[in-house]
Amino acid sequence: MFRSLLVANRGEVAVRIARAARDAGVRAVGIVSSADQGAAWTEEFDEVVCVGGPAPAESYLRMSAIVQAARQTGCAAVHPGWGFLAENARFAALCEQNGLTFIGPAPSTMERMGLKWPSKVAMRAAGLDLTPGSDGLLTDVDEAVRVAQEIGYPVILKADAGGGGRGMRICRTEAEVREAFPSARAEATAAFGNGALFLEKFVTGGRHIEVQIIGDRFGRAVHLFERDCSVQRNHQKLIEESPSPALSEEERAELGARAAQAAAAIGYVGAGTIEFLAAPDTGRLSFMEMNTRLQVEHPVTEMVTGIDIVREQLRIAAGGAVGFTQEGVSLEGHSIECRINAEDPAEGFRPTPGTLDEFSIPLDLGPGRVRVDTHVREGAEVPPYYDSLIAKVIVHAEDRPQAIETMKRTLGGARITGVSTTIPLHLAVLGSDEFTSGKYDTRSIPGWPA
Amino acid sequence: MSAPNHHLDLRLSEEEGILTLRAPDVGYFTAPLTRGAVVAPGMHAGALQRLEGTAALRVPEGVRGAVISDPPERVLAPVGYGDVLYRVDPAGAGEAVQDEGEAEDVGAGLVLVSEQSGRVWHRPGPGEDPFCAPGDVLEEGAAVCLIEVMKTFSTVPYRPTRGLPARARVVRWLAADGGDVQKGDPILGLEPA
Repeated sequence: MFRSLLVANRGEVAVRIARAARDAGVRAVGIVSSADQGAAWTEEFDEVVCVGGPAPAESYLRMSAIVQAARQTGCAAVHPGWGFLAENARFAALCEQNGLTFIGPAPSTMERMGLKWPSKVAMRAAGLDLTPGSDGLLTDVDEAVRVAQEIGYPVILKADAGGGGRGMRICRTEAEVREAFPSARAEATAAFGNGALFLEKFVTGGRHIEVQIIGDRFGRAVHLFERDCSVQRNHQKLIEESPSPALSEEERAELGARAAQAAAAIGYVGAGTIEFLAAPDTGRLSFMEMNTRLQVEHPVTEMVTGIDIVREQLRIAAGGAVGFTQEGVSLEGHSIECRINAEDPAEGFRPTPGTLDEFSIPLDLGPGRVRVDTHVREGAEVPPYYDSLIAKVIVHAEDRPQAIETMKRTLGGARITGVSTTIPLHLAVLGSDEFTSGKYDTRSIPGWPA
Repeated sequence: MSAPNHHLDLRLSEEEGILTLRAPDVGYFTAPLTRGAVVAPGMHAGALQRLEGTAALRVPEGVRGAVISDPPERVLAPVGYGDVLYRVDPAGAGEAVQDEGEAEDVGAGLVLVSEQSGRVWHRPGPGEDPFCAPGDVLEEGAAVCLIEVMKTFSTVPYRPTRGLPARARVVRWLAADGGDVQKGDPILGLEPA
């Protein structure tokens, strides 16, 4: 195991990793921006280095400054957390060039999974289904029209190097394909320097189901079952749970096995998540993308499996093998996570930075058990520079109704003042028939007016 | 250490009349100015080794005075963004260096400090005249004293670096003949000649 580890992140995830490091007997070094200097959460670290100014581009995204901080504090490894540089293959490569172990998969794996079409090709070869669409990148508009006719409208054109919706066009007729193709190509070229397009069946709604996998450098990969993240707002996850209420036992076992096989097939090392979209009509699960990092919602998996995922990441990065067999992983009970963001749900989810005058979340209202992952406490500042997540409340109970009841009691008893939070939204969702029935999709928030 | 290939301005803040010069980035701080050095805008004040290379640290506009803080003990001192590298007393420029708590008058405020820890000898050999004495004017290369480090003797020359002028007049010895000094300790009190 490493003697010292640098956590290249801030806030909640930085605290989560620092604790795992401490449990493993590893000295944890943190980085801060000047805005975060002296924040309570930095006390979790044995040493803290300020790497720059408040804006992420001046601090948490400065690859060379972070690597320098790791070098001068004697760290052997860097954990990127999520967000910031967590999926940046160049950062992973820079760490390795400087003799630091990057806690994540190989830079080449990150690079491949970061591009849409190469990741789809790799996963199709590894046995996963894709959303019906073009077989590779489109050569011209005629091919786009031919594919669209085969799979049926509506279709969506996507840029290979895409992101942020640029180069994307939804088309419902041949005329729309002919009109959209050149402009999508031009937009993708302008935005990404890469005008390559492909085409897929456009799916609305459906459920977002993802599988947690862990692989080691000895070619083994296991899955830790799935998480259902279908309660979303503008593609931002709000509530996650495990197991998914939309899968049967057989579907669950099959999905997990296929995801683990796919991870092994691409030689995946470390913790990763394979995201699937369950079609609204057939329930057929198609590969969407792979996240080559720890996920915000990893605690629900930890609650139902009893496995500390960050601890596994450290073990595997240090050259160890996955610490358990597939048969040794069992799913017990039901876990739900609610993300508490400093946002005002009554005002279009406007972020509300400020000072937390009160901050308390009860842990003992039952019937299930409660875990709170947070980096804040009473009196803490929520700075305006970073994302609005202030806490994650995770519950674990015998079954889904008990888990929902535990979450309702816990959030109902929480006192957080000074900033607005998403708790009213969570209580509305938890109390809705749609959510309790488990029948909803990503288009709308159950129990919350559109 | 590679030679500086670019420069960075130190970050300036002010508290109660004392100017504070802070690290502009993460890195190893090296070749610092010592206590007593006089600083002025545009001067180089040490270097910062970063992944990108070694940056000369430059004194920003509006800073003139004498350094009243000690250099770090380590030759390559790890620092973070915003760490204090120097405290500068603006009243110290060309005037007496105020070494808080010590009544020692070091004349016109210039001091030659030891580059290494060791034992100072004022004379080339027993019974011989000292290398220099109060009133003498020193120019670059003039021998100041001997320093004994682990049984090895070397001559300490006068160098017009770290805020010292090209020519300086000796005011008084600040290190005793045969006395031990730490790196950064004063050897001679000087004034511009």
